[in-house]
Amino acid sequence: MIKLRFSHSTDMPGILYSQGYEQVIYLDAEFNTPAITVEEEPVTDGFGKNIYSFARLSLVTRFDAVNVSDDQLFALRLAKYHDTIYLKDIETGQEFSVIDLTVTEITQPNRLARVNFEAIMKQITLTGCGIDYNAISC
Amino acid sequence: MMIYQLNTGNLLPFFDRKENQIGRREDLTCGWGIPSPRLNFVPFQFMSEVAIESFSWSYVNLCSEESEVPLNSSYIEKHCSGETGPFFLTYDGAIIAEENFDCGLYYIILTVNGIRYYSEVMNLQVICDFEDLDVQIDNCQLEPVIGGDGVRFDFSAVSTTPSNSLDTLLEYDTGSGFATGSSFALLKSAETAEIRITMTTSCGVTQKTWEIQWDDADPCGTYFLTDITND
Repeated sequence: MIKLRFSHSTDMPGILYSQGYEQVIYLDAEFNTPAITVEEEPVTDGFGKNIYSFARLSLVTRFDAVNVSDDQLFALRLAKYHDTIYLKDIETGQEFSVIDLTVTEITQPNRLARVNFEAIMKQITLTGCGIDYNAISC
Repeated sequence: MMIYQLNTGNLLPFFDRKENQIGRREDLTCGWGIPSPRLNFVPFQFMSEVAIESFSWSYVNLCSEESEVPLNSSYIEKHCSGETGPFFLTYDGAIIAEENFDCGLYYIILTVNGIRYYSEVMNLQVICDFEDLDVQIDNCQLEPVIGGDGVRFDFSAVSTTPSNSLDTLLEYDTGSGFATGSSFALLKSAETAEIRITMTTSCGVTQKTWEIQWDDADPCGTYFLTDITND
């Protein structure tokens, strides 16, 4: 079983979040093994070597939840627009923050939907500008 | 597709009549509910465009609908956003301490300004959400009683989460092994003792152990309490 909880720092139409409200749903699902997705924009220099002005690596987990009421689908679709999203494996107690959440559903004749979740758990973006932490020996 | 939910955007839908619950609409024959931990309900919020003059809530077991049980309204918080609204009622999913729900299918009836609204059916079940299981005791919950040959500590005021756990066992050890009880004697300042609290819930056993040491140099009754559960 997976627990999804989300909240937002400001109110949304029809939902008062600024007083601390947090939405919670327990999903009949199990995590799949996370996958790594890569987006990149290489350019080739005069020596034929690829130079990456942009690259983004994401750790993504996908899972399917079953028996979700179609009345809940609107709220689940709305979840990705919240600034605080957490997923938790109830079996292990492990919880992680979600960077982005995509929800797609397959409604069924009895109106209990199968819902696919795709959650980005970690993400690193590289640009041509590089990073300098200005670290010193200590 | 028909839209039945009144509180759009909430994961626990409310309807204007119970016939709109999906189990009744789709004839799921008493076999479906939104999963919820057994000791509480799924958090929800209900918005009203008109001022909320009165509200109350109750629950119904789907298998015995003739019985409607009122719930303490203090679990629901009312918020107003100016004189013209909108107005909100919020339940944050807190454990209902007064109830000890059996597993099964339940729904909530929320009455606002005399109008009854019906939640989607929830399937209350054992969900072992680890963050909800804890045993705690602190110095303030230890009651030292000075007199006789030493100091006795009554630690029966231990707090557990969930508060209505099935069983709580209090034990202490002054050097000869753990014995059941809620108090013990410390004869000398240099002596230490251990207290152990075991909470049993539907999700199993949670146990924590503390070491306690009395400081008799302080007539006000200072003592040290150290969590040694993982030592």
